[in-house]
Amino acid sequence: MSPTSLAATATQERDEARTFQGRKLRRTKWKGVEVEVVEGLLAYRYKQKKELETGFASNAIGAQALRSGKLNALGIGILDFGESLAEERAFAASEILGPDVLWAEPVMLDYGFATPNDQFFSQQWALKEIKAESAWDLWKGASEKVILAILDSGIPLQNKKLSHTDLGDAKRFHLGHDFINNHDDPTDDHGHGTHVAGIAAAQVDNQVGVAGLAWNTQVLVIKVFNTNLDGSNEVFMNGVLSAIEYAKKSRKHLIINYSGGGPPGDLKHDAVKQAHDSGALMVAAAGNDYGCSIRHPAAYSTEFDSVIAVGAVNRNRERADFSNRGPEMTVVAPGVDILSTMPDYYVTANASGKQTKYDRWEGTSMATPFVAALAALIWSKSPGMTAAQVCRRLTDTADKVTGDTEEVGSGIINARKALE
Amino acid sequence: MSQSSTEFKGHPVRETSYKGRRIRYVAGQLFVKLKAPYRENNESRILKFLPEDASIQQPPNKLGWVVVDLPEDVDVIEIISRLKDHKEVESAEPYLLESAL
Repeated sequence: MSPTSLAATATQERDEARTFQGRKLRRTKWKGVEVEVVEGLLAYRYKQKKELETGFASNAIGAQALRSGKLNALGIGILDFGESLAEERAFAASEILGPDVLWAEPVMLDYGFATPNDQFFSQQWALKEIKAESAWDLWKGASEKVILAILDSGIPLQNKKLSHTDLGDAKRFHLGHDFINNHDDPTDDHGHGTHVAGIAAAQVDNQVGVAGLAWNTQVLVIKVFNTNLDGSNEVFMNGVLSAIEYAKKSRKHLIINYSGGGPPGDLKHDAVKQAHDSGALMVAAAGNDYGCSIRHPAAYSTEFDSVIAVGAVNRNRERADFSNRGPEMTVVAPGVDILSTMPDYYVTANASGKQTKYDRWEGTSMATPFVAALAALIWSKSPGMTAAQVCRRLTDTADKVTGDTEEVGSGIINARKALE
Repeated sequence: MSQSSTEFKGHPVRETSYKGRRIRYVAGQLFVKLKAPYRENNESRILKFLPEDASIQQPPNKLGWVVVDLPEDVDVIEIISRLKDHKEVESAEPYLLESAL
């Protein structure tokens, strides 16, 4: 028997009451595997081409076939019972159709990979590498449970309005404080923060630009890096405290993406501990010093089980030569040749050759938002988890890659496995 | 990726060795945290350990830290080493700079 031989292909629908071609769908188990079946339909195949008649099997399985479809080229037919057939009745049907029947089974749904229609999606090799498409078939995130705070150089704003097509949904992107200039206008004047935000959360399936991994996730933008990409222990602390406060008010789990780092210090340690104590998850970049020790706050991952240190790998799943190493390394993600959003106006990064709107970048900064975004998907799917459990989910489901644990931690994140 | 700032939030940036690392820090500023329990007069308690021209702009934040302003030519690293010996001071450290990666 072939369990998927007559399975219908469908894309995932967003409505809660799922239907396929006007029929209700129902989750059940078929031969021990959880499947989604189209209610009332039974597929069958005889050894010789033979059509069953309407009314067949009505007594045997307690249902009446209202309609019998024509056999297709493979000799497969469909019986329409007009009502749901529970697993045991469908099994019974396969038994009672007699020795001439090869198999009978419910019509089960296959899922087309959720391939977005974004213009440059085919160039986003990293999303394929971490199995994003098949992960999205399972879960695209939800807006109610999680807030992803991106502490970076800001987001594209013009006249205080979100200006980038891929980062322009005011219902998803919330403007936090600018701790560099001390006001509430976190305009990106460098480009780094825009690139990071796009990797994590660029608008998906909008026919333009790129796709972000955390499809439906809410994002809080906090500016902690200046136009030269410098930050400090003070602005980091203020950014973290501000994110904690926001998450508390909005009653959401907090994930902090910090694609930055520097020396350790008591101030920074206090901020990380405060985040940990509040239940937040912190995802931080390991650093780009060509194998030097991991920067802080990422290096606090061995002290706090809610801190994740992220290294970078290339297209060949090898550690990127710039990626730092150390016992604090948690996981790796793609961080080379990463295409993402850039501000739609001139910023500092354009002076060093970066394009407006979209461009490629590399660094552990770029690897970090893939991990933070996946954490957001995991947590929104399982909101009962703690930050440490989300972290463990990421490490337990990572794929092994070449390199020792100080270079690659538990391996490269696998979005599909993490959401199964 | 970008050139390092020569100033940060209007203050000059310097480099030195601190705890065995090469650091960049903001001249004329440092952070101090007193041991708990925190009291209303924390600022004045901190100031009595510091040079006369030191000032504190804001009360301690939620985590108990204050930013201390000093003249830019004052050696903040030397002051920090003195403060750390004081029994009421839990921690003192420079205004450390870091960067996006």
